[in-house]
Amino acid sequence: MTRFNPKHALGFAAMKLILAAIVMVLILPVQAIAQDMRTVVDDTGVEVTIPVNPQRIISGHDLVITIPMIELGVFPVGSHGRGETLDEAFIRGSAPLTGVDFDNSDIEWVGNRPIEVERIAAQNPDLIITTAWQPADVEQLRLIAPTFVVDISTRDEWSVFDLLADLTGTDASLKLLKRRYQIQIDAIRDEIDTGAMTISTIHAYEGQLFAYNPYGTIGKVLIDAGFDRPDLIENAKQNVIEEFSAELMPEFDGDFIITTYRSSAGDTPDAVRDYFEGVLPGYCDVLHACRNDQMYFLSRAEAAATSYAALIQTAYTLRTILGGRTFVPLAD
Amino acid sequence: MLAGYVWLIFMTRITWLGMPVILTMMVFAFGWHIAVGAKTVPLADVFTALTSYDRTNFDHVVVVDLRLPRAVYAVLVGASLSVAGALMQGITRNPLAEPGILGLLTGASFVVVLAVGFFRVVDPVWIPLLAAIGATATAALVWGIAAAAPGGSTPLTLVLAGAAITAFLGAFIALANLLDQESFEAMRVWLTGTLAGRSTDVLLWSLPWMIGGLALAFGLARQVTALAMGDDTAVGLGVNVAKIKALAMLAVIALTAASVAIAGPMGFVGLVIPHVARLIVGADYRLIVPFSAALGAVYLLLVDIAARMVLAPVEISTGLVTALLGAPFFVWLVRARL
Repeated sequence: MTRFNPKHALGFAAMKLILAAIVMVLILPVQAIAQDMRTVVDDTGVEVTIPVNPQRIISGHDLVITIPMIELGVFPVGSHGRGETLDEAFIRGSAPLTGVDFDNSDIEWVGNRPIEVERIAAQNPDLIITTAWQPADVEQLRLIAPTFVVDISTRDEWSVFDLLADLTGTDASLKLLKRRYQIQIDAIRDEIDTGAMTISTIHAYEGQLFAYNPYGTIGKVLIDAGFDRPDLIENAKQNVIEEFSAELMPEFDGDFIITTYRSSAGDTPDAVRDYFEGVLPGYCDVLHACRNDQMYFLSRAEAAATSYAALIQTAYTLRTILGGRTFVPLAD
Repeated sequence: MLAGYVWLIFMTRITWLGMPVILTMMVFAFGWHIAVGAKTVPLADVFTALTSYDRTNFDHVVVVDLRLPRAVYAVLVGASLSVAGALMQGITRNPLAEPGILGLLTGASFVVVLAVGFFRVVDPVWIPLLAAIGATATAALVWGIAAAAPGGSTPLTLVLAGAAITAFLGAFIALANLLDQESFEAMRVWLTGTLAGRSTDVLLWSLPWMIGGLALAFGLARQVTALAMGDDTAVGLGVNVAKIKALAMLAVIALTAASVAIAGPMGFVGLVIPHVARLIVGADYRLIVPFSAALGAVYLLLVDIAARMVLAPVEISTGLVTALLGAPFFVWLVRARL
């Protein structure tokens, strides 16, 4: 009978490192000769020498890196994706936002958490862009290709687009996306007296009340268009989902309330109504917006994504539902 | 001699006075729990909410619909877990025994998570039963592992087996979460141990388990005192050791399952409180069991006030606070008693 031998496990890990090193030795000199290089500093403070025009990029995070890259017109050769096997792997949120997934593109799945060194090496990348959220060993990744680590906890999530545009040389594409979005924001400002309207974004789930400042595309549109938001949300920590006492529910009230449902998990707006009932029975009597039919339910996949397609879509949705109706203002 | 006599009188007084004092503390803690929160409600309104409830007055809604049920959950879960811990410490003669450390909370949670996440079991009638199945299987596994260790079941082997099973099942819960993040997201907060937003349906289906478990525990208290002195002594006193241990475990499982169904895994409550009760009333389980129940209720009421108020208006899970308070106590206990 074969017994587990830790020495073998160590030997296996060492072999993987050696294999990765061999791949690096074979590939990197060719790339260095073929491409102009430049040095940048990643979010962990490490200097990384990367190609000026990378051609074979690996993404270590589907939502944060892969979708923005596709929107910028750059298809990575490999990407992190959800699921545990190749058969079930998918790029979370990508199909409804970009139409692109593993099954209809040349993007190869390179694993989930962690992304797999051997799958990445097989793609012969010239740049790996990953996030601090990804548990893959960055030192191993650096043996394969220059690796830029993005830390979304220390930067505005939308600045990832600027960063990726810079790394991939797609500033012109980003300018177009920003222009399309700005047109929607300008239209909202033209059509709606946004400063006079308070919009709240709250969530009820599993008996708890949550607020998230700014909350994906909804939050960005509300802020950029100049809508007022309840003080508790305005003053909440940035980019952190905070759990609040249901006793404060009236303080999250507004002229309108926008909340979301997890369509990807099969939830519906009715499920969200049930969640609110779970937090506070009779919540609709307590909330002015709900009482006056001024509460809206948007699909979370689009509303929470860091995507210009989602952003433009959300801006258009809010412009339509808020601008196209009369409403009962919340008393001061 | 004189000092010993004075100490005996002092302890006797404490024992007799103890329960009224603790019950008074419970009333005050309960009142405090429903009087304070993220929203400031004048005391007069708290009283009016209880005596003449007005659905259109939000302060009344806060007191009656949010704080009152939560205080009731705290009393029931605190009492149940404390009594479960006291019984476990008695029948195993292990000062570190409690549902959390011996893996029962994780076992109960594991089965509930699987049933809800994979099989979409949402009817509250099944939750306590599923938790009981998980707790029973885990108890059998932990005892089996401890008994198979060289030297048999000792406080140390039981704790180690409990820790191993807790880690093992915890890894499975994490794996299930990884495989199906969307489905298991719904249980993220519950798994940290929380009293907020719990469904009254789950409470109603858990209540018979709690009442049955508490009644059994009170009924067995005399025999558990004998068991705590050792199996041989218990046999000499006419106790059917196997039967009493089985019945006591039944009570532990019922109390643990009901608590997990209501609040998720709330660690260390069953460890801390029985030791406090023992400090007050000595080694007699006829007193330890009721004192543990009352003290456990007071403890969880106070802990939940802290969970709601320390970072107000942001709330933290009650289970996180019990762990923060219980873990250092566990370390002290290991150093002092093992």
